[in-house]
Amino acid sequence: MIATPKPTPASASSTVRSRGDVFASKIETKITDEQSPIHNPYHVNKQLIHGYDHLDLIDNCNFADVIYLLLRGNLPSEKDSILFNKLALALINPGPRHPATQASITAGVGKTDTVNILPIALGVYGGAFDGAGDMEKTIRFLRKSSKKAVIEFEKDALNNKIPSITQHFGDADTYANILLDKLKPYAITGNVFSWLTQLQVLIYPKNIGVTKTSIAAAIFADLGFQPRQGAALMQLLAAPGLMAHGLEFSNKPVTAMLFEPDETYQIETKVESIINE
Amino acid sequence: MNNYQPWEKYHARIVSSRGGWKIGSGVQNCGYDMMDDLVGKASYMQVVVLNATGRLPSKAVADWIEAIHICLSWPDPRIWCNRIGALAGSSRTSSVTASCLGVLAAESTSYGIKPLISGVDFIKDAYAQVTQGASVEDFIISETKKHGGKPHLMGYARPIAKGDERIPAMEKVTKNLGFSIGEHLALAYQIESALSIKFDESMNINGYMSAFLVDQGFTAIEVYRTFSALVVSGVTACYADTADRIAGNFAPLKTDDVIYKGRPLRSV
Repeated sequence: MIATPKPTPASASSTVRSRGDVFASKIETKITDEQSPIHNPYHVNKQLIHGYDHLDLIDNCNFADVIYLLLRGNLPSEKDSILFNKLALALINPGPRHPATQASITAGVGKTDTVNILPIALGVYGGAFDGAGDMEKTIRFLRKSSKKAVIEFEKDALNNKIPSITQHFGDADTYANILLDKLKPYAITGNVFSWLTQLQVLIYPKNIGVTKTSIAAAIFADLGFQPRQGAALMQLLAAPGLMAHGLEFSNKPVTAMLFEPDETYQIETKVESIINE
Repeated sequence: MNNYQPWEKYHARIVSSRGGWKIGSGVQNCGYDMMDDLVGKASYMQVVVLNATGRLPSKAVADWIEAIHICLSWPDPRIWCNRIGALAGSSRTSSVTASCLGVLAAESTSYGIKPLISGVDFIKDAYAQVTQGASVEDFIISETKKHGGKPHLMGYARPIAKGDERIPAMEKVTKNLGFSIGEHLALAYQIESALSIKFDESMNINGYMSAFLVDQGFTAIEVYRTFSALVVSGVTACYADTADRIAGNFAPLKTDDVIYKGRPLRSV
Protein backbone atom coordinates (compact mmCIF):
# COMPACT_ATOMS: atom_id res chain seq x y z
CA MET A 1 0.00 0.00 0.00
CA ILE A 2 1.26 3.43 -0.91
CA ALA A 3 1.16 5.95 1.88
CA THR A 4 -0.80 9.09 1.20
CA PRO A 5 1.60 12.04 1.23
CA LYS A 6 0.99 14.57 3.96
CA PRO A 7 -0.37 17.86 2.72
CA THR A 8 2.38 20.35 2.19
CA PRO A 9 2.01 24.10 1.82
CA ALA A 10 3.83 24.13 -1.51
CA SER A 11 5.17 21.65 -4.00
CA ALA A 12 8.91 21.19 -4.19
CA SER A 13 8.51 22.37 -7.77
CA SER A 14 8.26 25.95 -6.50
CA THR A 15 12.03 26.18 -6.44
CA VAL A 16 13.22 26.27 -10.04
CA ARG A 17 16.90 25.63 -10.69
CA SER A 18 18.89 25.18 -13.85
CA ARG A 19 20.03 21.60 -14.40
CA GLY A 20 23.29 23.00 -15.69
CA ASP A 21 23.11 21.12 -18.98
CA VAL A 22 25.89 22.11 -21.31
CA PHE A 23 24.53 23.02 -24.73
CA ALA A 24 26.55 23.38 -27.89
CA SER A 25 28.03 26.81 -28.37
CA LYS A 26 28.03 26.22 -32.13
CA ILE A 27 26.04 23.81 -34.29
CA GLU A 28 27.98 21.05 -36.02
CA THR A 29 27.20 19.44 -39.38
CA LYS A 30 28.89 16.90 -41.60
CA ILE A 31 26.83 17.98 -44.59
CA THR A 32 27.69 21.54 -45.55
CA ASP A 33 30.77 23.71 -45.35
CA GLU A 34 30.07 27.34 -46.20
CA GLN A 35 32.89 29.78 -46.73
CA SER A 36 32.49 33.56 -46.73
CA PRO A 37 33.95 36.40 -48.74
CA ILE A 38 35.98 38.92 -46.76
CA HIS A 39 33.39 41.70 -46.98
CA ASN A 40 30.46 39.88 -45.36
CA PRO A 41 30.46 36.85 -43.01
CA TYR A 42 26.74 36.26 -43.68
CA HIS A 43 27.42 35.67 -47.38
CA VAL A 44 28.75 32.56 -49.07
CA ASN A 45 31.24 32.39 -51.90
CA LYS A 46 31.88 28.66 -51.71
CA GLN A 47 29.74 25.80 -50.52
CA LEU A 48 30.87 22.21 -50.09
CA ILE A 49 28.35 19.38 -49.75
CA HIS A 50 29.98 16.36 -48.16
CA GLY A 51 33.22 17.65 -49.63
CA TYR A 52 31.98 18.29 -53.17
CA ASP A 53 31.87 21.83 -54.49
CA HIS A 54 28.20 22.70 -55.01
CA LEU A 55 29.06 24.23 -58.39
CA ASP A 56 30.76 20.98 -59.41
CA LEU A 57 27.58 19.08 -58.50
CA ILE A 58 25.52 21.47 -60.62
CA ASP A 59 27.74 20.71 -63.61
CA ASN A 60 28.04 16.99 -63.19
CA CYS A 61 25.17 15.44 -61.23
CA ASN A 62 21.44 14.98 -61.50
CA PHE A 63 18.96 16.11 -58.85
CA ALA A 64 18.29 12.71 -57.30
CA ASP A 65 21.98 11.89 -56.99
CA VAL A 66 22.54 15.00 -54.86
CA ILE A 67 19.57 14.12 -52.67
CA TYR A 68 21.27 10.77 -52.14
CA LEU A 69 24.54 12.56 -51.40
CA LEU A 70 22.92 14.87 -48.86
CA LEU A 71 21.46 11.96 -46.92
CA ARG A 72 24.09 9.25 -47.38
CA GLY A 73 27.26 11.28 -47.50
CA ASN A 74 28.49 9.93 -50.83
CA LEU A 75 27.31 10.03 -54.39
CA PRO A 76 25.53 6.82 -55.43
CA SER A 77 27.11 4.19 -57.61
CA GLU A 78 25.73 4.08 -61.15
CA LYS A 79 23.53 1.12 -60.23
CA ASP A 80 22.23 2.78 -57.03
CA SER A 81 21.67 6.02 -58.90
CA ILE A 82 19.46 4.24 -61.42
CA LEU A 83 17.54 2.46 -58.66
CA PHE A 84 17.03 5.64 -56.62
CA ASN A 85 15.80 7.51 -59.68
CA LYS A 86 13.44 4.67 -60.59
CA LEU A 87 12.03 4.61 -57.07
CA ALA A 88 11.62 8.39 -57.16
CA LEU A 89 9.60 8.00 -60.36
CA ALA A 90 7.55 5.19 -58.84
CA LEU A 91 6.51 7.43 -55.95
CA ILE A 92 6.23 10.70 -57.86
CA ASN A 93 2.47 10.92 -58.16
CA PRO A 94 0.12 9.49 -55.51
CA GLY A 95 -2.74 10.45 -57.83
CA PRO A 96 -5.71 12.79 -57.51
CA ARG A 97 -7.74 10.51 -55.25
CA HIS A 98 -5.08 10.15 -52.57
CA PRO A 99 -6.09 12.04 -49.40
CA ALA A 100 -2.88 14.05 -49.52
CA THR A 101 -3.61 15.12 -53.09
CA GLN A 102 -7.18 15.89 -52.09
CA ALA A 103 -5.79 18.10 -49.33
CA SER A 104 -3.51 19.77 -51.87
CA ILE A 105 -6.44 20.35 -54.22
CA THR A 106 -8.57 21.66 -51.36
CA ALA A 107 -5.85 24.12 -50.42
CA GLY A 108 -5.42 25.15 -54.04
CA VAL A 109 -9.06 25.72 -54.80
CA GLY A 110 -9.56 27.41 -51.40
CA LYS A 111 -6.97 30.00 -52.47
CA THR A 112 -4.63 29.08 -49.68
CA ASP A 113 -1.35 30.90 -50.09
CA THR A 114 0.54 28.74 -52.58
CA VAL A 115 3.55 28.52 -50.26
CA ASN A 116 1.35 26.46 -47.94
CA ILE A 117 -0.01 23.99 -50.51
CA LEU A 118 2.93 21.60 -50.47
CA PRO A 119 3.39 21.58 -46.68
CA ILE A 120 -0.32 20.78 -46.30
CA ALA A 121 -0.13 17.92 -48.81
CA LEU A 122 3.06 16.53 -47.28
CA GLY A 123 1.54 16.69 -43.82
CA VAL A 124 -1.38 14.52 -44.89
CA TYR A 125 1.01 12.25 -46.82
CA GLY A 126 2.77 11.76 -43.48
CA GLY A 127 -0.18 9.68 -42.33
CA ALA A 128 -0.04 5.90 -42.14
CA PHE A 129 -2.81 5.36 -44.71
CA ASP A 130 -1.02 4.85 -48.05
CA GLY A 131 1.62 7.35 -46.92
CA ALA A 132 4.87 7.72 -45.09
CA GLY A 133 3.57 7.48 -41.52
CA ASP A 134 4.77 3.93 -40.86
CA MET A 135 7.97 4.20 -42.88
CA GLU A 136 10.43 4.24 -39.99
CA LYS A 137 9.07 1.14 -38.31
CA THR A 138 8.71 -0.58 -41.71
CA ILE A 139 12.39 -0.05 -42.50
CA ARG A 140 13.36 -1.28 -39.05
CA PHE A 141 11.17 -4.36 -39.46
CA LEU A 142 12.44 -5.17 -42.95
CA ARG A 143 16.11 -4.70 -42.04
CA LYS A 144 15.73 -7.14 -39.17
CA SER A 145 13.34 -9.67 -40.68
CA SER A 146 14.99 -9.97 -44.07
CA LYS A 147 17.87 -11.78 -42.37
CA LYS A 148 15.51 -14.68 -41.72
CA ALA A 149 13.58 -17.00 -44.01
CA VAL A 150 10.54 -15.28 -45.46
CA ILE A 151 8.29 -18.26 -44.75
CA GLU A 152 8.59 -17.46 -41.04
CA PHE A 153 6.65 -14.27 -41.63
CA GLU A 154 3.83 -15.46 -43.85
CA LYS A 155 1.41 -15.97 -40.98
CA ASP A 156 2.09 -12.54 -39.45
CA ALA A 157 1.69 -10.93 -42.85
CA LEU A 158 -1.67 -12.59 -43.41
CA ASN A 159 -2.76 -11.43 -39.96
CA ASN A 160 -1.86 -7.80 -40.67
CA LYS A 161 0.95 -7.83 -38.13
CA ILE A 162 3.70 -6.55 -40.40
CA PRO A 163 3.96 -2.78 -40.90
CA SER A 164 2.98 -1.60 -44.38
CA ILE A 165 1.94 -5.08 -45.48
CA THR A 166 -1.80 -4.75 -45.70
CA GLN A 167 -4.85 -4.26 -47.87
CA HIS A 168 -6.02 -1.08 -49.57
CA PHE A 169 -9.78 -0.50 -49.64
CA GLY A 170 -10.36 -4.15 -48.83
CA ASP A 171 -7.96 -5.87 -51.24
CA ALA A 172 -4.25 -6.29 -51.80
CA ASP A 173 -2.99 -3.07 -53.42
CA THR A 174 -3.12 -3.63 -57.18
CA TYR A 175 -0.89 -0.78 -58.26
CA ALA A 176 1.69 -1.44 -55.53
CA ASN A 177 1.99 -4.95 -56.91
CA ILE A 178 2.48 -3.55 -60.42
CA LEU A 179 5.18 -1.18 -59.14
CA LEU A 180 6.91 -4.01 -57.31
CA ASP A 181 7.18 -5.93 -60.58
CA LYS A 182 8.28 -2.82 -62.46
CA LEU A 183 11.10 -2.12 -60.01
CA LYS A 184 12.36 -5.72 -59.87
CA PRO A 185 14.95 -5.38 -62.67
CA TYR A 186 16.54 -2.45 -60.85
CA ALA A 187 16.15 -3.60 -57.24
CA ILE A 188 16.12 -7.37 -57.11
CA THR A 189 19.78 -7.73 -56.13
CA GLY A 190 19.02 -5.93 -52.89
CA ASN A 191 18.56 -8.32 -49.98
CA VAL A 192 15.61 -6.53 -48.46
CA PHE A 193 13.78 -5.94 -51.74
CA SER A 194 14.37 -9.55 -52.74
CA TRP A 195 12.94 -10.71 -49.41
CA LEU A 196 9.90 -8.47 -49.88
CA THR A 197 9.19 -9.88 -53.34
CA GLN A 198 9.37 -13.39 -51.92
CA LEU A 199 6.87 -12.42 -49.24
CA GLN A 200 4.59 -10.94 -51.89
CA VAL A 201 4.63 -14.24 -53.79
CA LEU A 202 3.36 -15.96 -50.65
CA ILE A 203 0.69 -13.50 -49.62
CA TYR A 204 -0.61 -11.68 -52.71
CA PRO A 205 -2.68 -14.67 -53.85
CA LYS A 206 -4.33 -14.49 -50.42
CA ASN A 207 -5.37 -10.88 -51.03
CA ILE A 208 -2.89 -9.02 -48.86
CA GLY A 209 0.36 -7.50 -49.98
CA VAL A 210 2.97 -4.84 -50.28
CA THR A 211 2.20 -1.13 -50.33
CA LYS A 212 4.12 1.71 -51.87
CA THR A 213 5.42 2.34 -48.36
CA SER A 214 6.87 -1.15 -47.93
CA ILE A 215 8.36 -1.09 -51.44
CA ALA A 216 10.04 2.23 -50.70
CA ALA A 217 11.15 1.00 -47.28
CA ALA A 218 12.83 -2.06 -48.80
CA ILE A 219 14.68 -0.03 -51.41
CA PHE A 220 15.66 2.65 -48.91
CA ALA A 221 17.06 -0.10 -46.67
CA ASP A 222 19.01 -1.66 -49.54
CA LEU A 223 20.39 1.75 -50.50
CA GLY A 224 21.58 2.27 -46.94
CA PHE A 225 19.20 5.00 -45.82
CA GLN A 226 18.52 5.09 -42.10
CA PRO A 227 15.03 4.37 -40.72
CA ARG A 228 14.62 7.93 -39.47
CA GLN A 229 15.36 9.26 -42.95
CA GLY A 230 12.72 7.16 -44.66
CA ALA A 231 9.46 9.01 -43.99
CA ALA A 232 10.76 12.41 -44.98
CA LEU A 233 12.42 10.94 -48.05
CA MET A 234 9.19 9.28 -49.14
CA GLN A 235 7.39 12.60 -48.66
CA LEU A 236 10.01 14.33 -50.77
CA LEU A 237 9.67 11.83 -53.60
CA ALA A 238 5.87 12.11 -53.64
CA ALA A 239 5.95 15.91 -53.49
CA PRO A 240 5.88 16.62 -57.25
CA GLY A 241 2.55 14.92 -57.89
CA LEU A 242 0.98 16.26 -54.72
CA MET A 243 2.09 19.78 -55.57
CA ALA A 244 1.04 19.63 -59.21
CA HIS A 245 -2.58 18.75 -58.47
CA GLY A 246 -2.93 21.48 -55.84
CA LEU A 247 -1.46 24.08 -58.15
CA GLU A 248 -3.73 22.92 -60.99
CA PHE A 249 -6.68 23.85 -58.81
CA SER A 250 -5.22 27.09 -57.48
CA ASN A 251 -6.44 28.88 -60.60
CA LYS A 252 -9.88 27.28 -60.61
CA PRO A 253 -13.01 28.74 -59.02
CA VAL A 254 -14.03 27.41 -55.64
CA THR A 255 -16.90 25.55 -57.30
CA ALA A 256 -14.38 23.27 -59.07
CA MET A 257 -14.03 21.26 -55.85
CA LEU A 258 -16.62 19.00 -54.28
CA PHE A 259 -19.00 20.62 -51.79
CA GLU A 260 -21.33 17.84 -50.77
CA PRO A 261 -24.96 19.05 -50.63
CA ASP A 262 -26.84 18.94 -47.33
CA GLU A 263 -28.87 15.98 -48.64
CA THR A 264 -25.74 13.83 -48.62
CA TYR A 265 -24.48 15.13 -45.28
CA GLN A 266 -25.46 12.75 -42.51
CA ILE A 267 -25.14 14.09 -38.97
CA GLU A 268 -25.19 11.13 -36.58
CA THR A 269 -25.78 13.02 -33.35
CA LYS A 270 -28.97 14.81 -32.41
CA VAL A 271 -28.97 18.42 -31.31
CA GLU A 272 -29.13 18.87 -27.56
CA SER A 273 -28.75 22.15 -25.74
CA ILE A 274 -26.20 21.79 -22.98
CA ILE A 275 -26.19 25.40 -21.90
CA ASN A 276 -29.03 26.89 -19.90
CA GLU A 277 -30.06 30.30 -21.09
CA MET B 1 31.71 50.21 -41.02
CA ASN B 2 30.28 47.21 -42.83
CA ASN B 3 26.94 46.70 -44.52
CA TYR B 4 25.83 43.91 -42.20
CA GLN B 5 25.99 45.95 -39.00
CA PRO B 6 22.17 45.93 -38.40
CA TRP B 7 22.34 42.16 -37.97
CA GLU B 8 25.30 42.16 -35.61
CA LYS B 9 23.27 43.12 -32.56
CA TYR B 10 21.24 39.95 -33.09
CA HIS B 11 24.21 37.65 -33.63
CA ALA B 12 24.73 35.00 -30.93
CA ARG B 13 21.94 36.37 -28.74
CA ILE B 14 18.15 36.61 -28.53
CA VAL B 15 16.60 40.05 -28.40
CA SER B 16 12.95 40.11 -27.32
CA SER B 17 10.50 42.91 -26.69
CA ARG B 18 8.02 40.41 -25.30
CA GLY B 19 9.83 38.65 -22.51
CA GLY B 20 11.04 35.16 -21.76
CA TRP B 21 11.99 32.60 -19.14
CA LYS B 22 14.88 33.34 -16.81
CA ILE B 23 15.46 30.10 -14.98
CA GLY B 24 14.77 30.53 -11.29
CA SER B 25 13.39 34.04 -11.54
CA GLY B 26 10.25 33.48 -13.58
CA VAL B 27 8.62 34.12 -16.93
CA GLN B 28 8.17 37.68 -18.08
CA ASN B 29 5.65 38.73 -20.70
CA CYS B 30 5.40 42.33 -21.80
CA GLY B 31 6.19 43.53 -18.30
CA TYR B 32 3.88 41.05 -16.57
CA ASP B 33 5.06 38.15 -14.47
CA MET B 34 3.22 35.29 -16.15
CA MET B 35 2.77 33.15 -13.06
CA ASP B 36 1.96 35.94 -10.60
CA ASP B 37 0.11 38.44 -12.78
CA LEU B 38 -1.56 36.38 -15.50
CA VAL B 39 -2.12 32.73 -14.53
CA GLY B 40 -5.48 32.48 -12.78
CA LYS B 41 -6.08 36.21 -13.16
CA ALA B 42 -6.27 36.85 -16.89
CA SER B 43 -8.27 34.74 -19.32
CA TYR B 44 -6.44 32.63 -21.90
CA MET B 45 -7.75 34.87 -24.67
CA GLN B 46 -6.44 37.98 -22.90
CA VAL B 47 -3.00 36.38 -22.99
CA VAL B 48 -3.46 35.38 -26.65
CA VAL B 49 -4.03 39.05 -27.47
CA LEU B 50 -1.16 40.10 -25.22
CA ASN B 51 1.18 37.70 -27.02
CA ALA B 52 0.00 38.90 -30.42
CA THR B 53 -0.08 42.64 -29.79
CA GLY B 54 1.97 43.35 -26.69
CA ARG B 55 -1.11 44.84 -24.98
CA LEU B 56 -3.33 43.15 -22.41
CA PRO B 57 -6.93 43.82 -23.48
CA SER B 58 -9.91 44.10 -21.15
CA LYS B 59 -11.64 40.87 -20.19
CA ALA B 60 -14.66 41.98 -22.22
CA VAL B 61 -12.65 42.42 -25.42
CA ALA B 62 -11.00 39.04 -24.86
CA ASP B 63 -14.38 37.40 -24.29
CA TRP B 64 -15.66 38.96 -27.51
CA ILE B 65 -12.63 37.59 -29.37
CA GLU B 66 -13.19 34.18 -27.83
CA ALA B 67 -16.78 34.22 -29.06
CA ILE B 68 -15.53 34.94 -32.58
CA HIS B 69 -13.30 31.88 -32.33
CA ILE B 70 -16.40 29.81 -31.61
CA CYS B 71 -18.06 31.32 -34.68
CA LEU B 72 -15.13 30.06 -36.79
CA SER B 73 -14.93 26.60 -35.22
CA TRP B 74 -17.60 24.71 -37.14
CA PRO B 75 -17.13 20.94 -37.31
CA ASP B 76 -18.16 20.85 -40.98
CA PRO B 77 -15.54 19.19 -43.21
CA ARG B 78 -16.89 20.86 -46.34
CA ILE B 79 -15.15 24.06 -45.28
CA TRP B 80 -11.73 23.97 -46.88
CA CYS B 81 -9.50 24.09 -43.82
CA ASN B 82 -11.73 21.59 -42.05
CA ARG B 83 -11.69 19.28 -45.06
CA ILE B 84 -7.92 19.10 -44.76
CA GLY B 85 -8.32 18.15 -41.10
CA ALA B 86 -10.81 15.45 -42.08
CA LEU B 87 -8.49 14.13 -44.79
CA ALA B 88 -5.62 14.12 -42.30
CA GLY B 89 -7.66 12.08 -39.82
CA SER B 90 -8.70 9.69 -42.54
CA SER B 91 -5.02 9.34 -43.47
CA ARG B 92 -3.95 8.66 -39.88
CA THR B 93 -1.79 11.67 -39.24
CA SER B 94 -1.59 13.05 -35.71
CA SER B 95 -4.08 15.52 -34.30
CA VAL B 96 -1.36 18.16 -34.02
CA THR B 97 -0.37 17.72 -37.65
CA ALA B 98 -3.96 17.88 -38.84
CA SER B 99 -4.79 20.95 -36.78
CA CYS B 100 -1.71 22.80 -37.97
CA LEU B 101 -2.37 21.90 -41.60
CA GLY B 102 -5.89 23.31 -41.30
CA VAL B 103 -4.50 26.53 -39.89
CA LEU B 104 -2.04 26.68 -42.79
CA ALA B 105 -4.93 26.26 -45.23
CA ALA B 106 -6.76 29.20 -43.70
CA GLU B 107 -3.90 31.41 -44.89
CA SER B 108 -6.14 32.07 -47.88
CA THR B 109 -7.16 35.09 -49.86
CA SER B 110 -10.73 33.73 -50.04
CA TYR B 111 -11.51 32.97 -46.40
CA GLY B 112 -9.88 32.54 -43.01
CA ILE B 113 -7.30 34.85 -41.55
CA LYS B 114 -5.63 36.77 -44.34
CA PRO B 115 -8.77 38.62 -45.51
CA LEU B 116 -8.96 40.17 -42.05
CA ILE B 117 -6.08 42.44 -43.07
CA SER B 118 -8.02 43.58 -46.11
CA GLY B 119 -11.17 43.80 -43.98
CA VAL B 120 -9.56 46.21 -41.55
CA ASP B 121 -7.98 48.23 -44.35
CA PHE B 122 -11.32 48.36 -46.16
CA ILE B 123 -13.37 49.75 -43.29
CA LYS B 124 -10.65 52.23 -42.34
CA ASP B 125 -10.52 53.44 -45.94
CA ALA B 126 -14.30 53.68 -46.09
CA TYR B 127 -14.34 55.63 -42.84
CA ALA B 128 -11.70 58.01 -44.13
CA GLN B 129 -13.60 58.63 -47.38
CA VAL B 130 -16.98 59.09 -45.74
CA THR B 131 -15.63 61.42 -43.06
CA GLN B 132 -14.06 63.45 -45.85
CA GLY B 133 -17.46 63.96 -47.43
CA ALA B 134 -18.16 61.01 -49.73
CA SER B 135 -21.60 59.43 -49.45
CA VAL B 136 -21.86 55.76 -48.60
CA GLU B 137 -23.59 55.17 -51.94
CA ASP B 138 -20.78 56.90 -53.86
CA PHE B 139 -18.22 54.86 -51.94
CA ILE B 140 -19.98 51.61 -52.90
CA ILE B 141 -20.16 52.64 -56.56
CA SER B 142 -16.45 53.44 -56.60
CA GLU B 143 -15.60 50.12 -54.90
CA THR B 144 -17.78 48.00 -57.19
CA LYS B 145 -16.20 49.66 -60.22
CA LYS B 146 -12.92 48.05 -59.15
CA HIS B 147 -14.55 44.64 -59.58
CA GLY B 148 -16.40 45.05 -62.86
CA GLY B 149 -19.53 46.32 -61.16
CA LYS B 150 -19.80 43.27 -58.89
CA PRO B 151 -20.35 43.78 -55.14
CA HIS B 152 -17.01 42.28 -54.15
CA LEU B 153 -16.48 44.48 -51.12
CA MET B 154 -14.19 43.06 -48.47
CA GLY B 155 -16.32 42.12 -45.49
CA TYR B 156 -19.49 41.78 -47.49
CA ALA B 157 -21.10 38.79 -49.23
CA ARG B 158 -19.60 35.32 -48.76
CA PRO B 159 -19.03 32.15 -50.80
CA ILE B 160 -21.59 29.33 -50.89
CA ALA B 161 -24.44 31.22 -49.18
CA LYS B 162 -25.97 34.66 -48.76
CA GLY B 163 -26.36 36.04 -45.24
CA ASP B 164 -24.24 35.14 -42.23
CA GLU B 165 -25.72 33.53 -39.14
CA ARG B 166 -22.63 34.43 -37.13
CA ILE B 167 -23.40 38.14 -37.14
CA PRO B 168 -26.67 38.01 -35.18
CA ALA B 169 -24.92 35.67 -32.73
CA MET B 170 -22.07 38.15 -32.31
CA GLU B 171 -24.48 41.09 -32.07
CA LYS B 172 -25.87 39.44 -28.93
CA VAL B 173 -22.36 38.96 -27.58
CA THR B 174 -21.50 42.58 -28.30
CA LYS B 175 -24.59 43.76 -26.48
CA ASN B 176 -24.24 41.37 -23.53
CA LEU B 177 -20.63 42.40 -22.98
CA GLY B 178 -21.75 46.03 -22.77
CA PHE B 179 -20.15 47.34 -25.96
CA SER B 180 -21.76 50.21 -27.81
CA ILE B 181 -21.62 50.42 -31.58
CA GLY B 182 -18.53 52.38 -32.54
CA GLU B 183 -18.06 54.64 -35.53
CA HIS B 184 -16.54 52.01 -37.82
CA LEU B 185 -19.17 49.41 -36.99
CA ALA B 186 -21.90 52.00 -37.52
CA LEU B 187 -20.45 52.75 -40.95
CA ALA B 188 -20.24 49.02 -41.69
CA TYR B 189 -23.99 48.78 -41.06
CA GLN B 190 -24.63 51.76 -43.34
CA ILE B 191 -22.65 50.12 -46.12
CA GLU B 192 -24.57 46.90 -45.59
CA SER B 193 -27.86 48.73 -45.80
CA ALA B 194 -26.97 50.36 -49.11
CA LEU B 195 -25.47 47.15 -50.49
CA SER B 196 -28.53 45.18 -49.54
CA ILE B 197 -30.82 47.49 -51.48
CA LYS B 198 -28.65 47.56 -54.59
CA PHE B 199 -27.20 44.02 -54.69
CA ASP B 200 -29.10 41.89 -52.18
CA GLU B 201 -25.83 41.26 -50.33
CA SER B 202 -25.07 41.66 -46.63
CA MET B 203 -22.16 41.96 -44.23
CA ASN B 204 -20.14 38.84 -43.46
CA ILE B 205 -18.31 37.95 -40.28
CA ASN B 206 -15.09 39.46 -41.61
CA GLY B 207 -16.79 42.82 -42.06
CA TYR B 208 -18.32 42.70 -38.60
CA MET B 209 -15.09 41.64 -36.91
CA SER B 210 -12.96 44.15 -38.74
CA ALA B 211 -15.18 47.12 -37.96
CA PHE B 212 -15.63 46.17 -34.31
CA LEU B 213 -11.93 45.58 -33.76
CA VAL B 214 -10.92 48.86 -35.42
CA ASP B 215 -13.29 50.56 -33.01
CA GLN B 216 -11.41 48.78 -30.21
CA GLY B 217 -8.09 50.17 -31.44
CA PHE B 218 -6.66 47.15 -33.25
CA THR B 219 -4.51 47.58 -36.34
CA ALA B 220 -4.81 45.23 -39.32
CA ILE B 221 -1.63 43.34 -38.48
CA GLU B 222 -2.67 43.01 -34.84
CA VAL B 223 -5.97 41.48 -35.91
CA TYR B 224 -4.17 39.08 -38.25
CA ARG B 225 -1.74 37.98 -35.55
CA THR B 226 -4.39 37.67 -32.85
CA PHE B 227 -6.50 35.37 -35.00
CA SER B 228 -3.63 33.24 -36.35
CA ALA B 229 -5.23 30.00 -35.11
CA LEU B 230 -8.81 31.17 -35.59
CA VAL B 231 -10.05 28.03 -37.34
CA VAL B 232 -8.02 25.44 -35.45
CA SER B 233 -10.74 24.01 -33.26
CA GLY B 234 -13.09 23.21 -36.14
CA VAL B 235 -10.21 21.50 -37.92
CA THR B 236 -9.48 19.40 -34.84
CA ALA B 237 -13.14 18.42 -34.64
CA CYS B 238 -13.14 17.23 -38.25
CA TYR B 239 -9.87 15.38 -37.67
CA ALA B 240 -11.22 13.62 -34.58
CA ASP B 241 -14.34 12.50 -36.43
CA THR B 242 -12.50 10.83 -39.29
CA ALA B 243 -9.58 9.59 -37.18
CA ASP B 244 -12.04 7.46 -35.22
CA ARG B 245 -13.38 5.68 -38.33
CA ILE B 246 -11.82 3.19 -40.73
CA ALA B 247 -8.65 4.51 -42.40
CA GLY B 248 -9.38 6.17 -45.72
CA ASN B 249 -12.99 6.87 -44.74
CA PHE B 250 -13.27 10.53 -45.64
CA ALA B 251 -14.83 11.08 -49.05
CA PRO B 252 -13.08 8.12 -50.71
CA LEU B 253 -13.03 8.51 -54.48
CA LYS B 254 -13.32 5.80 -57.12
CA THR B 255 -11.33 6.25 -60.30
CA ASP B 256 -14.44 7.22 -62.25
CA ASP B 257 -15.18 9.97 -59.71
CA VAL B 258 -12.37 11.92 -61.39
CA ILE B 259 -12.79 13.14 -64.96
CA TYR B 260 -9.52 13.12 -66.92
CA LYS B 261 -9.35 15.89 -69.50
CA GLY B 262 -5.66 15.65 -70.41
CA ARG B 263 -3.79 14.23 -73.39
CA PRO B 264 -4.64 10.70 -74.57
CA LEU B 265 -2.12 7.88 -74.11
CA ARG B 266 1.22 8.63 -75.77
CA SER B 267 4.77 7.26 -75.64
CA VAL B 268 7.93 8.88 -74.29
